[in-house]
Amino acid sequence: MIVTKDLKIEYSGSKQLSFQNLSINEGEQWLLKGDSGTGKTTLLHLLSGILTPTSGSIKVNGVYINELGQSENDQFRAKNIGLIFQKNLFVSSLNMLNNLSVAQKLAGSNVDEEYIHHLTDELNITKLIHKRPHELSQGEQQRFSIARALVNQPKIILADEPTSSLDNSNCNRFADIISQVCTMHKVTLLIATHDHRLDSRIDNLINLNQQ
Amino acid sequence: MELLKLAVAQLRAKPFNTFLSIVMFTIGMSIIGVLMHFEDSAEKRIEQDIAGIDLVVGAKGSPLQLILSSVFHADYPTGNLNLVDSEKVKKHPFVKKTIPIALGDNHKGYRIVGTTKDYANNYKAELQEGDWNKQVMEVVLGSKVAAQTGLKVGDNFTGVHGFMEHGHSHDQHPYLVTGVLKEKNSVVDRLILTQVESVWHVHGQCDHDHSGEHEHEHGEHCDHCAHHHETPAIDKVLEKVKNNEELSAEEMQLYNEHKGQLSERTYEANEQITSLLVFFKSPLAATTLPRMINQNTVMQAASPAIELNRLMSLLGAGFTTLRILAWLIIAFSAINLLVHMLNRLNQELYELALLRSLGVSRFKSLLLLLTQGGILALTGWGFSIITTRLMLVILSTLNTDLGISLNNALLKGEVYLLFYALAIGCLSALIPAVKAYNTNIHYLLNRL
Repeated sequence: MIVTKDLKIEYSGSKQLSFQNLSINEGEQWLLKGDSGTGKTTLLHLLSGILTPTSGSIKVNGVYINELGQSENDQFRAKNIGLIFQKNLFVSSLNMLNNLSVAQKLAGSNVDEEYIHHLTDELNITKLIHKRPHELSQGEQQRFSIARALVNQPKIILADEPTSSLDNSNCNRFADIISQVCTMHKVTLLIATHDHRLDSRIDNLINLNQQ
Repeated sequence: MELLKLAVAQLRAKPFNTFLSIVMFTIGMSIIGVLMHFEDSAEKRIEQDIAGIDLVVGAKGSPLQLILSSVFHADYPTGNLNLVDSEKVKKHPFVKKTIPIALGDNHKGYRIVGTTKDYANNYKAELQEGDWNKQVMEVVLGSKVAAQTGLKVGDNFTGVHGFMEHGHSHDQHPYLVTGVLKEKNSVVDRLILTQVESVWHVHGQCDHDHSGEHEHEHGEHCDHCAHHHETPAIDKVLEKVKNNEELSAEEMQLYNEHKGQLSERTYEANEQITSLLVFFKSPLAATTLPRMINQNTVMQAASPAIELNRLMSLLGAGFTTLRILAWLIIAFSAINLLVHMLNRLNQELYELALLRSLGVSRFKSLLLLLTQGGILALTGWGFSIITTRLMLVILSTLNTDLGISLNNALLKGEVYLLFYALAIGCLSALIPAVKAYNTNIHYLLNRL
């Protein structure tokens, strides 16, 4: 599902990061670990097409995304990759239902309310869909973040430090939910984190420190 | 489409800022709109009042005054013309037709204009009721005159000398109303039309300059009244002359005056008019005829178009000042929009990063902000169209003399204003939009 080769990126003119080759199969769940500055977020952004590598290749779902143009990349990301950020980002002027449906529309697909309800039911947040983002708790927002990552039925979910601001119980609940739904929807999952609480839950590990 | 919805949603999320931006745009554009309507209405009105008159011939004096008095009936006449002189103009080969104007009196401030049927025809005047004036001392009333004075067909009224409401009243010469004209939004609405002969009849045969003597006080006698008293005296003098008797100095003067009048009367009596409206047969006349009249006769010729241009260029300074003010307000509203959008972009930078990660391309994020600027300007324009019309309704009911014709159709200028507004809205959104376009979402998301 994700295959990278000789990935290198230069930034701020002189600094350079290079990454080990990855090969992640469909439906697998991986942890991406490493100290600060080892390029966890950078790697996720390379894999999602937000950044373009200086050299090397990235094949996601059979497509070499490093060869795509900027807006093609934006569309590819919207359709194929679900992103979960460290903090929960929403369009504050829209309610949660519209926050979910806007993600479908921006990906160029039709709004599938049935699927949205199916997702919110799974995540147990259906009764909150008419609220605005600021009216929700962190945990509730996180679940909506998962719902939005899944709303376009992507092949891959990339999560960047999703548990860093959660307490233990919320962290556990998140870990449960995310592996559950990813298994259920056959989604490949890659979580970049330095949170040890997740170590025991996901078997596959990429350690950026070992380079 | 989705972009548009998103733009609207984001604007609605900050109702106060959005409202402020729209109000600023509305105020600036409303001022410009009202000015446009004023100018449009004034231009139409003037064009209608000039009604194809190529030249006005009158007594020497200020050309602007001649135009204002004879075409717009808004100023005092420059003096009188002898009919015999005006006949020469009428017979000139370049002249298609002429219409005489004889002023002198008013009724309750509305001018009694001695003229021919051609005058009414030239303004396409139509009868609302009654019939056209066929006899001397019969009049038709302009619509506004009828409405304001309450005169009806069959009523009698007397004229007051000059153009002020109060003054010497010609009580012994009542006019008869035979008709009332339809409202045409032209100068005719404010006039009382009669035959030139009626004006002569009221003023007897006296040849004094009526127009110049508008300030007649109550009790002061008009010259022709003096003539009446003189008649026996002049008869006595004439008797003496016949008998070759000696005349006193006073009698001599009387006799000379009388002789002078007689000699004038040998032309066309001493019939005078205030001015002559001239229509050219060929455009060539415009260059030759005025110069000929101004240089070779005691009359002056003035072109309504030229004089009005002169007047409008003077008034234009006021309009220009107001217009600059309005554009300044619009410029401020553009700056306000710029600051407002920059602030919001800074606050919602992460939202932009989110939208980009959800598949909004850089170009679309640029469009999103431009759309918002456009929507604000467009809404402001829409409101200004409404407020302009409201202001015009209020102004026209407050002051009916302004003669603002309520033109609810979109003026050409207002359509241009729409494009200006859109351009200004988009331009002021351009800086935030470019900022959004250049936003490095990797950097932003990394900082979360």
